[in-house]
Amino acid sequence: MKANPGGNLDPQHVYGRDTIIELLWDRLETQSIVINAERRIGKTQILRKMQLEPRAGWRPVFRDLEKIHSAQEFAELVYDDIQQFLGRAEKAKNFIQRFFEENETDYVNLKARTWKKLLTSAVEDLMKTAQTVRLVFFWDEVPYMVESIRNADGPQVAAEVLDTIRSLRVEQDRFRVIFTGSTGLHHVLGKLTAAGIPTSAKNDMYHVTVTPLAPHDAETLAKDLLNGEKINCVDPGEAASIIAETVDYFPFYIHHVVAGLRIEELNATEANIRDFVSRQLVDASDPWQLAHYRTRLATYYPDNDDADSVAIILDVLAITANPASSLSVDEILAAATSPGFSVKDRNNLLRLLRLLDADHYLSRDTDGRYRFRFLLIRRWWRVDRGL
Amino acid sequence: MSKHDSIKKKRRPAADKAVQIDHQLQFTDDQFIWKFSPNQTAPDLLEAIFTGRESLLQNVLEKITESATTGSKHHVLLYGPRGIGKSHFTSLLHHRLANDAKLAKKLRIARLNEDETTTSLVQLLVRIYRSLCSAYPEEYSRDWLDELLNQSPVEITDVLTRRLASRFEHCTLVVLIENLNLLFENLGTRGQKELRTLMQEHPFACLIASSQQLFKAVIDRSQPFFGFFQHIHLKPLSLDDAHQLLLKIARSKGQDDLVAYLNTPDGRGRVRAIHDLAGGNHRVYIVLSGFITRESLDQLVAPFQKMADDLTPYYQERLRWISPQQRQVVELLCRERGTLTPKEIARRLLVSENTIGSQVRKLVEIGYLSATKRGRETFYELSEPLMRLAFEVKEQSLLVMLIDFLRIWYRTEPSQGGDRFGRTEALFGSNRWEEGFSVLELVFKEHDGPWGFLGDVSSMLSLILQNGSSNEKLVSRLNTLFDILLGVVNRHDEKQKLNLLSMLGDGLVKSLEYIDADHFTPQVMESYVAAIEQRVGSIPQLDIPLRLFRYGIRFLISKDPAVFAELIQPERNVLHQVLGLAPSHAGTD
Repeated sequence: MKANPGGNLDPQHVYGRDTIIELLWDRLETQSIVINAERRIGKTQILRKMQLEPRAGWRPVFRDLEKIHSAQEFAELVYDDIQQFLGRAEKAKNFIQRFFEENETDYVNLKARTWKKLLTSAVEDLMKTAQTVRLVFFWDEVPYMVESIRNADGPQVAAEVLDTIRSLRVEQDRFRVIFTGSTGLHHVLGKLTAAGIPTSAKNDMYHVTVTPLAPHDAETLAKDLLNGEKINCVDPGEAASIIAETVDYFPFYIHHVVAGLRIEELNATEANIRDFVSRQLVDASDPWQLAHYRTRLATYYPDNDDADSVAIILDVLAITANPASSLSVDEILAAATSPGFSVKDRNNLLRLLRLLDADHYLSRDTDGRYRFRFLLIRRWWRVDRGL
Repeated sequence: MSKHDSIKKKRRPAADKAVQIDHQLQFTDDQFIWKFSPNQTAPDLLEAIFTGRESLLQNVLEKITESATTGSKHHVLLYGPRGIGKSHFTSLLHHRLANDAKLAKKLRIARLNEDETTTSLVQLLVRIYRSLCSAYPEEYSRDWLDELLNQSPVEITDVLTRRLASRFEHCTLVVLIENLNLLFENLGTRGQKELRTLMQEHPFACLIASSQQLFKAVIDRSQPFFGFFQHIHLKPLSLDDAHQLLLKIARSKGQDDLVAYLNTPDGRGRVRAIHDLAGGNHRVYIVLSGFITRESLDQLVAPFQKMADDLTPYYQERLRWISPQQRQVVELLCRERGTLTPKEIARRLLVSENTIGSQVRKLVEIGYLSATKRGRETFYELSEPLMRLAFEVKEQSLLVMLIDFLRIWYRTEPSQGGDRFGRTEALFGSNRWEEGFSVLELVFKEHDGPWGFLGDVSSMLSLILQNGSSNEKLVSRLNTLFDILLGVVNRHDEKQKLNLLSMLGDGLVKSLEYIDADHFTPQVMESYVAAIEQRVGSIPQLDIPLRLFRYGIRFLISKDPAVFAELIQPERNVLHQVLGLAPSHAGTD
């Protein structure tokens, strides 16, 4: 197996995701799902593996919704997918039924109906099918689509699209979707709320967070990649373990490190591995684009001085003596003494901490204490902020 | 039969090649290396001269092989400035893939014409399909495509997507794209999103692309193609690679005498001189190889001047690819003698320092500039000194003076003068100056060429410094020495005069090696430099050696190589070598 950072992976090359995939199939029996994950953590590879190796009784349709710019485009896409799934007889039956009910005269007009009607009728047709195999939609980059619709058709329509899908989920108990996206859906919903159009578009869905790989899986992946790239190493197991641990078990970065060792024709020694990763963190051209964790703060936290305060919270958590140790809310409040820290009351701090948790910067343990979710990002934050 | 012979026998000239002769290097009646369109060069010739990137090519080939034989699909973006060898690499990749029998049934290659403009996904799909029609006419019908073009763009997109997805269900499409940055720019965000969606929903293709630099569409996390490609930086050729490339081309051309010369220490020295100016640019060596012979490489300046004519439009073209403000910065550095700080650049261009700071960093990223730090200051220079060709007046070219200096500097043959100054040096060492000068005059009087030993003045110069009991005496002795040396120079014709001055300059810089700085006060060292500048500073041919000498003395006084930050890389290399310092690289001084 060759290192393939960013490319499409053969399902056999997707490591360590069997458990979450089983969980997702189990959940789909009863509920639709929202997958939360940091970009490049491998959620699309999970969906692709599910698409290519579906559980018996399911037929997944994977759609990247990033290209959708209007509610109408979205409804037509869903309609087309459903038509393709339904047999010819069912399509004819549905057409005749609509002809009588709604006086629709031809296929073209059927598609030209308003987006809401088209979407609703398509899903209703799907639910009536006698087929034993169930269609499930894997919709990737949902937040991008909602944002595009918000820009093109306005916030009202964007909210209606989400609400319509929600209604269909509620009314049609066999209708299943998986939402994913590289930016949190909560940001898009927040914008709709700010525009005076609150929506509870995902309250009925099961939330799954995709995490980096388990250490054992990450090491197996690194070992197989080292082998596939024929990289010299005295102890492949140890080299794999160092690679996995140094990049915090992110499969994307594991692929990157092994690909980098191959390109630079380096042996997989501990020194070479650690040096390679360190160089990525300090390289002025930011090859892993980690600066995004800083630059997006202003977009994610646009209110008042929130972005500055968030940066200070991250500073506080980045300089704890032990990288893995966590701080309580009060400890953070006491330590955040920089002049730019405008959050003086506990509730406001809690609000920001929850957002940082939702945006994958931080994680909260069972005692309610916070730490950086990914040590790799903590390490980069220290370097970037000169802490 | 050598590989070269077999190549000659296989290739036959095409009738239309004759009219294009000025755009290519003619090796034999039927052998060409295209200087600016490597994809036109015969693949076996490209193969024969491929240098320094075999491991990288293997790596990309393995990725494509895995893409063709499994469900994985790799996407690669090769980046590096124009002339770095991207097209050569891509052409060879194409050739090897197309001729790999094991992959014959598993992949099809669509190589997109780099000059065609594409502004939408549907146009891109049509280009891909058209390329397949040309490469595989039995499988892909141009008539079918022409018929399809009667449909609406939406329908064409739909039909082509389904057709390609179906044709490549058990096979992989390799799309070779040059100038990906331009393609993405023309596609716009919407086109990129559509392409990304296509690649996500129908993963039947691997994209192997190239661009001059990394650009927002692939490095910004908010963009659809962030993290999609594996970025591979094509680095400049190393000195060894450049030497190998010239050797391979000479072998391909059957220039046995040049091959033999290149393999001598002196031949390597000549390549080193070129390398200092070329900055590892692949195309420069390809162009240069059209002009060099055993004799001209020895002289170096003549082929260099011919090459300059060919390369000038190339560098001017490169400047057209950057923004007006970036171009101003490069223009300024082309005109400038040495390096400049952002503050100075901003002052000269009447722009804010912040603006210049971001522009110069960008220029470093895209390979136009290099940076050297001194304390908190950063000094910028052209990554390829040859870029000055875009602006320089060739007759007064700093580059020509530099190449001439480096030609002498990197020679390794002895000066053939033997120990002709030994007696003079002994008399100087005994403080018998008048006798020493008389003996020196006698040496020159009795000698009737060759004059290669004229530059062996290091020891005499250092003796004058060492035994200069007063400033007056130091100045007087230096003047006498240079009167004698320049007298010899002036006896010769113009061509020979220039050569002798180059040797004298070489000797002046080499004399730094003999100076034991701990024995002299800074004032004495400064007087020494001032005296030499006073005597020979008006001779343009000694401009470069004098400048190096001056900076060499500054280092000997300060012991800090950071004083060299104001010099350009080839000059720093010379001083690092003569002063026994670690090799100089931008950013390390």
